[in-house]
Amino acid sequence: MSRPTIRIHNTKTNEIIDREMTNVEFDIYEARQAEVTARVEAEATKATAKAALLAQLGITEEQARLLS
Amino acid sequence: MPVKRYNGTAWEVIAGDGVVGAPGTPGTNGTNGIDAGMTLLSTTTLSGTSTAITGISQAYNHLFVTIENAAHSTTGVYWNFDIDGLSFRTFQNSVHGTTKYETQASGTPSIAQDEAGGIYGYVWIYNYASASRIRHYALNTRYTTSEGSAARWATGTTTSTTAIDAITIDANGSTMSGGTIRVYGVK
Repeated sequence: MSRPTIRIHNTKTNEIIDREMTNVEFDIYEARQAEVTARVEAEATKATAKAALLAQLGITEEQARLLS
Repeated sequence: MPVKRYNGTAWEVIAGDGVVGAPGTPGTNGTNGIDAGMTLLSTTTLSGTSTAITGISQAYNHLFVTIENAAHSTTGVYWNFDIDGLSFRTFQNSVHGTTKYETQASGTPSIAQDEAGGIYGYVWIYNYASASRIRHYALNTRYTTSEGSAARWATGTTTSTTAIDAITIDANGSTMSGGTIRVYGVK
């Protein structure tokens, strides 16, 4: 399976190169993908917990903002 | 930005670095007078996981970069705007829907936390070619998050005086699916 590509536009020569990632770049890419996935999951968990707390308190999100 | 003014006798231009001179001929970038104004250096369609613009001319005082409809393939992506690998001390305000965020960070500037709506905005990079002045950037972007429409304002500084000749838009683990980045040199 081919790796994701990177575009490089050299403005001195106006040459545009699309090439596959190197090993190092691919390792960084995979690590970042894992970070994004973890962050999205953490934000979803936080949103669920927030909604549950608001329901428990019996107030809306707008009312909760007045407390901050 | 250069300013044109009438001094009571003739028109003159105050360049971004404070130098005052006669205005140049329109369309020739001031070749018969003070060299002032904006010059389009490159237009690039975003592609891949990142797109780099390299070999940027060092003949200007500042860089002005526009980002139009930068889109990507997945959700929850934090877009970075790498300025020649330099680390900037950044102060940033964002509004996502009705939620406000204030952050301070060191590292690569971040331009958006986009969900799918496409990113629009601009970035100023000041004194990018100077050998003696520190680097400073300022940006304003518009995008869409899971919390709603969003906007970001940020400024950052680095004490590095390394000449900047490359910038990179990085979708940070996602794949870009279109958009245009234009780089202007500003006298």
